[in-house]
Amino acid sequence: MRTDDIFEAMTDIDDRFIEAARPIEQYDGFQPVVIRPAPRRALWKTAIPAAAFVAVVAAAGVFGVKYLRGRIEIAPPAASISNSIASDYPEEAKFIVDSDVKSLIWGYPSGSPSWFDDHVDYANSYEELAKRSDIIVSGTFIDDIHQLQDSNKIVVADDECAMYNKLEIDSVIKGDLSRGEVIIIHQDSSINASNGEGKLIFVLDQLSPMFKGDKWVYFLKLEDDGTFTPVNGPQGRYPLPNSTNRLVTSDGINPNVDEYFTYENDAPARDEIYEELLKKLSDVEIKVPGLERIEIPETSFTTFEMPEFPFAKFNVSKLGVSANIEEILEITDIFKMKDGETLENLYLADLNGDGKRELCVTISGEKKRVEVRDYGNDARYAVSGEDDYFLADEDGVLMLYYTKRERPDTAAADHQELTLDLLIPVGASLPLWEVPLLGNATFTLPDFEGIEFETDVNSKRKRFIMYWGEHRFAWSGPVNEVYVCDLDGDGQREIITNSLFVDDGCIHVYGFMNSGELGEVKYIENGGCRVVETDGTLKYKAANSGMKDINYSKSDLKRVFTDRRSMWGGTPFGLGDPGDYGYYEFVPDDEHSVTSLNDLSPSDDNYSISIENGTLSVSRGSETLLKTGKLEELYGVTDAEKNCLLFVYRSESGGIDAFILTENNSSKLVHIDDIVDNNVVLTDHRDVSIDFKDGRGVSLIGILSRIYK
Amino acid sequence: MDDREIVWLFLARDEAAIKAAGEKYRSYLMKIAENITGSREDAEECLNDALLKAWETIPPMQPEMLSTYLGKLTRNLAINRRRQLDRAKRGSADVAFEELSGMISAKETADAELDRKALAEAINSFLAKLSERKRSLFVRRYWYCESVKDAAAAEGMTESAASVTLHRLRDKLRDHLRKRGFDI
Repeated sequence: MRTDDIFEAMTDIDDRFIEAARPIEQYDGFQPVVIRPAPRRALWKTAIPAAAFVAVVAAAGVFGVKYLRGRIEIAPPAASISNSIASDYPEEAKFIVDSDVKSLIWGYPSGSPSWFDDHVDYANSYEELAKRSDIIVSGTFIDDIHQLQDSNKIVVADDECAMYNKLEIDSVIKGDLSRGEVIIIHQDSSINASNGEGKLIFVLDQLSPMFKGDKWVYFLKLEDDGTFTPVNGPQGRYPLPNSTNRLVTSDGINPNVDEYFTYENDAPARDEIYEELLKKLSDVEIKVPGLERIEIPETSFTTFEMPEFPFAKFNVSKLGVSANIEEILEITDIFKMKDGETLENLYLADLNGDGKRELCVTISGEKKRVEVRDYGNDARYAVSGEDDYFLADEDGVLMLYYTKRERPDTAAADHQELTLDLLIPVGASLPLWEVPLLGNATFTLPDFEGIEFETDVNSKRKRFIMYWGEHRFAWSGPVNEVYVCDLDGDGQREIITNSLFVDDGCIHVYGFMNSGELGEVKYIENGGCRVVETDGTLKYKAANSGMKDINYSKSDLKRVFTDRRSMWGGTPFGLGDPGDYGYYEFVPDDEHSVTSLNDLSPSDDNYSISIENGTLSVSRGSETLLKTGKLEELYGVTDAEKNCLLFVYRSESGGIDAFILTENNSSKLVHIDDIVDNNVVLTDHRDVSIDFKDGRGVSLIGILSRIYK
Repeated sequence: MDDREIVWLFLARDEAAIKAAGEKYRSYLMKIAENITGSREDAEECLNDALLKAWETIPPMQPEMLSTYLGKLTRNLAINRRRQLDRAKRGSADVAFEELSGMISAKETADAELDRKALAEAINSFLAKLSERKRSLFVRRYWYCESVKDAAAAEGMTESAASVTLHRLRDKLRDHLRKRGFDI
């Protein structure tokens, strides 16, 4: 069977596989951003007329609004499209920023993103624009943009759609609205989504990008259905300074809006209006107080308010804090307290700088621990451990203290300013499973198909060994704990071990790469560190610091996992007895594939690499490291950091040899003179897998580039 | 226009079907064809031929998923087109051999068609076992013939990781096919 046969037969694979992998098409230079339809649901035949309370609750259910504080009826926009589509098939689509678009970061312009249109009767001053507005507000989008479309007819030329989003009001310059209320802003007319060709297209016609978290100021008209539209389209909307426009690439090109959305063609009095607007905004902005300590009565409770949450009143006693949300009469406990625990102190401090303070408490029980509730973003953080953590203010700064149990006096406590980085997010805890450490037992783990583990960690030797095929991974130091936990959120758990010997701890993580095939040791840190499990969450404890407990995050892992230098330079997973097999995967960066000998210069200038008359020579200083016979062909590859070079060559006699030059502390040279699979096909720009049998168990999978033939 | 409406136009022998399908799927089909032929001009030809082929085959065919139906037609045509281009570059002996191979019987052709179906089924069963991400990567690379770089970016992977993944998937597919009796 030929490769062609397989390639041809591929044509007939299942339609669903083809459709699922369907690439985003280019539309003649008009790059669409895809809006993926949300699951179909029956809604929105018309504006929803209902009593305020019912409407708010109902709408919150539909939209997922977390904070039910609005007095305005939240109803979907009754745009003109509502009348032009079949009422049986209305559907919403939500804009989702694809991962490949997330990198598109660009600052908003300082002024209004308006353009001039002859057909619009623009206001010529702030006063004129304000007069035409029912409300003038600044706010934060609490969701990504939605698009209404006719789901029965895929959006193509001549079909229309309308977009909207929900804005949580931060400040009110004009109008009968309050901070914290949620309103819907939508286009004042539906738009033609031509060029869609089956995809929903996000077109910025008369509407700002409106991503979750973006802050804008609006001059708005109240529509009959209780929603709002910008006055004069673009003239009625302005980004707050330092807001971001994530749709614009770093080249300054917005691929979606080039036809509609230019900054050069300004509406009249743009700068004057914007300047005046910011001044007015500054006048009405609620000044959120800074750090505040709420005194907790010993035997009763007290009530306090936070201007950043005008719809809630808070009660606090030694037994906890609760929020009393107006209008829906809901009382919610802010912190979960265990029996016997009491609140030692309560602070209000804006730790994340979003203008809404967090509630920060010390909870005292068997041990002292700290919890933080970010009420504005519905997030919780905590820090706790074997010792005590507590809060205190010092010169107007909220400090996190840490002290060992045996020395509970404050004077001896280590402390630093409280930041969210020091805390563990609660609720985002990772599924954690401590491996049952059986004495001298062999077992398997569900996430590690084909791998057997052997442990005798209860014995003196405390060994932990992993068998994968013919490979054996043995930890060098005694292993005290083994955890299994999905650290990088890829759905597959990793193995995390603590090796503690001579008071010097190190952590090893073993997991699977994206391919899900090859296990790779992921080396985290060596020396004075360990992982600890607290309340079902795995924490990383840095050397000699009780204050540096941090939660593993994907970015942390990525950083340490891609540290190839340490992988090559040392013994990353501590090979055990001599003869143990390690396994390295070497995945070179394509951008660093070798195209000429010049690309093979390691950072050590003493190296000299040349090929003359078909003979390859590598030397360092006056020392000749390699001189081959006459070669038939030569390929090379280097890794991203240029600390490892590989030559693979075929001599005239037909045999294939490989030569690896590693650059580490000793600039050590490794010469591998035998290849297990000598039938490897050397082809330019083809990935190739080679196993070397020199006892090192090195496997290379990389993209070779032909240097010489 | 909705796919069902377009198919209905085909079935009703209304030539507006070709125009509607072309307008709606032009970019999609062009991308497939251009990835395979490497030429915009050739891709244009494949696109036109695919639409014509759709006109000829609907009815009796009534595709449930018009996009992939047209995509498959385009892919086949693009492969053939590429083969023609390759043949044009080869020597007269290769061409002569190919001409002789045209003498194979109808039975052999039918056998080949059966083989292809069996092979496609085997590939399907292989793909069905993969995770969504790996499957998507594989299909992007080997059905849509996207570059590794583009396919990797689409799946949120580095090019190197995608390359390694594809390498392993190819190995797995080879094993999968061998186990099912394919001589590979």
